[in-house]
Amino acid sequence: MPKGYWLPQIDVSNMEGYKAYMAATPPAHEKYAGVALVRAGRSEVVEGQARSRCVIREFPDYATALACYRSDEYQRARPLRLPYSVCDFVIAEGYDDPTPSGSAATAKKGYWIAHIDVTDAAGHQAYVAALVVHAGKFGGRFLVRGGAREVPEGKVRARTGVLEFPSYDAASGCYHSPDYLPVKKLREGKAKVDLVIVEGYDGPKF
Amino acid sequence: MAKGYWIGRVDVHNEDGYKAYAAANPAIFKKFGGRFVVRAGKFEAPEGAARSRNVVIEFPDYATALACYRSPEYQDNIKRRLPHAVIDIVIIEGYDGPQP
Repeated sequence: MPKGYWLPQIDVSNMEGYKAYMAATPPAHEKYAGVALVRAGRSEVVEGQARSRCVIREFPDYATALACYRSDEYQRARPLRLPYSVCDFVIAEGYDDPTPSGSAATAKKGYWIAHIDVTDAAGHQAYVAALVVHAGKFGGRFLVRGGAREVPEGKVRARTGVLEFPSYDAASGCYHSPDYLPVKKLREGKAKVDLVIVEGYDGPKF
Repeated sequence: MAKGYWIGRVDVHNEDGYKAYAAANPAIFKKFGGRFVVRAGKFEAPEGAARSRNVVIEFPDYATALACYRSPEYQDNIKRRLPHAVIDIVIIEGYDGPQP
């Protein structure tokens, strides 16, 4: 899946004032796994017109890039820059290179695979409700959520869930996000979990 | 209709011996419309127990996922794997409800 990008161009009129905005953005960027590729490094405008500060921030996909902009976290930070700068802000979908040497590695999805023994059903439900919201911010969707099952070989815990993410980095970022800590706390003492986060398969089909 | 899945975790003790089993699988999975979703990609195990190889295979539905496991072809192939690996397999119905 193609990545998503923030492509803002900014003229800053008061750098001291602007710094409070920069200090307020990391929670939003971390939550949505946004990574700065370009952040006001040196630049030349070789044709046409541009603002003086150029930023490129990469997200797991376009939907996540949009979601980050619209998030409460970012919308709290945004007013801090308005008095001190003028911004042209574009959010764009990346290009998925169709050649084998291109984005084959980045097209791999990521997964959470969890085997769970629930010890407090009501308590665990509260965790799952919070997980749905949290994982949604990283583009997570359920492939498996409970459901009929058999264990023909070996031994696993009583319940199985699988969440699919746009990439391994999104799957891992969802788990390691500071915002997951309060979610995870909801299941402490409510369930025992074997959890792996694993990269998907993108090789030849049968 | 909800898909069906095999979710396996495997510790392979003899890679060379395991290869014959792994090589015979695609023809069997193809017959039942299976596709690899996860095939021993890089992973981390932040909580609880894990085995070194993780596999997820998606089938058109739960009944087909079960039928593939119970097929004579796969039951025959299991014999190639047993001396070389320890495995936990869950066969489970997919989720078809609202998403986040």
